[in-house]
Amino acid sequence: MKFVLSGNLLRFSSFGREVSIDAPTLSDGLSRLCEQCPSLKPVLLDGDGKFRRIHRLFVNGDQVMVDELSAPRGAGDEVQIVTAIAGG
Amino acid sequence: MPPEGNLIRPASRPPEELLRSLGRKEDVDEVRTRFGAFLSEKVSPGAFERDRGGTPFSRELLREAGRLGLFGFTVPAEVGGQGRNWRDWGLVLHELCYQCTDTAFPMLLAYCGTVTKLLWETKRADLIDRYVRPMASGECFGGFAWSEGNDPFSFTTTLKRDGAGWVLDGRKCPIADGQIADVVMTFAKNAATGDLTTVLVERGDRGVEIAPYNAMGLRSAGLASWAFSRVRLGPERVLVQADGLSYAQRFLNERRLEMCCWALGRMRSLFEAVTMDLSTRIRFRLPLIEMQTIQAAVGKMYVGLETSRIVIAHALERIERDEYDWLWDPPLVVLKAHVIEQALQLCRTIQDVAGGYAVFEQAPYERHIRDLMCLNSIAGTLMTLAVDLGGLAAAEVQRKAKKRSPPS
Repeated sequence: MKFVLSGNLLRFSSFGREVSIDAPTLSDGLSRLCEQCPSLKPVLLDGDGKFRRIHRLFVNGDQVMVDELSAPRGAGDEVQIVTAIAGG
Repeated sequence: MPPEGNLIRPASRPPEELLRSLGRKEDVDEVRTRFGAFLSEKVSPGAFERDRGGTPFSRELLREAGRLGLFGFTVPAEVGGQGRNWRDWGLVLHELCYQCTDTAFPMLLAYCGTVTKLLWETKRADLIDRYVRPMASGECFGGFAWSEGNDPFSFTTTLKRDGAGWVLDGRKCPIADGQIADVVMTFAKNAATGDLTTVLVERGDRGVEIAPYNAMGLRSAGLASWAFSRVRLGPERVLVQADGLSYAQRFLNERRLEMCCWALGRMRSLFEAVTMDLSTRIRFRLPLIEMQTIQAAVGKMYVGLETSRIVIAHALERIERDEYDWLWDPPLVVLKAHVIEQALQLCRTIQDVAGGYAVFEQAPYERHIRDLMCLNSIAGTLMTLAVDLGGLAAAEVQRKAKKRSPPS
């Protein structure tokens, strides 16, 4: 699958906008993405290794909820991660 | 052939007034009946001096607000609250700000009220007994210790394991009601996981040092810094172990909506004040309001006021229908961006049309303009929100374009 990053997330991927990952599920893909781009790990995953609820995931243009992360995914899937974090 | 009959039919009901509250007349009357005397006799009289001295509200005044039910408005009666809904709360905040002359008062109620509600949502009996009940009655006040001046991944306030408990070090600044708060929800980097953990820190905890940190406006809220030096916290003080980042957005999202409700009350009172002022001030033998450029300025201020009222009313209805995402709700962010921009524009227009009277401290604008100017920086600056909205909107446009024309 191909992860597409944008906005503030680019700073944590050394400004790499697209990252290709070989993984059978989104959950595995996110773990491997964080191994490949370690700076992304604390941004995308919480201390328990779960995907942070503040981010949104889209697979081939459709939003995916956190309970769908373990569904099988194809090699050609494009995964977009978008985020919005405001301060106090 | 023209249609038969009169094309200009009479309206089915009398035309609505141009200047309206967020709620119905009976709702407004209820607010006036329940809180009017308290506002005019207790809150408004000391507003000028509190602002000048940077003096926070007295606990006595806040306790009285608690006895009136203003600190636990949306938590259920079984924990000492009023059990009212969002629509009612939005209206109350709006009317309180419209009717009293201290903008920080509804701000503080909304801010503390959100902390109370978040603690109630934990359903933990210990937290409800220790904090929620006294907060709902105005005997205890909560705060939100988030800001450090850096993004959340660069926070330096840290939490380390210490046996069964934790040790907290760092500094949070500013905390909107830091001089008043008895307990603050504090977001600290967990030294073991690097994640944000949310803990409750009390004013009396050993190692907590509080210092006033006054701002240009909203000064009676009691802005302060809280410094933590080896503050020991028991395990019961942990509110959210992991993903405090997302949890914080829950607070900020709610704060945006509340802020718009009370800001609209101040916008309305300022609009009425400046319009009356322009009606009595004479330039070249005419009241200023008779000049078309001034009428246009008033009209533009009114457009900002009324569009803000409409979008807030729409947001409150959405929430009543449970159609929102409390973690990050784009329509609520749009709401804040729009209403606060209108509030800032109103301030600029008042300065244009009132001239020196907009800046004299004895005139009715200067303090309120400073208060409203603070809103840009609360719960995400307008620029930050624009970046987030722009990024999300661009990503959506790209997704839709790709779906329409898949790769060949």
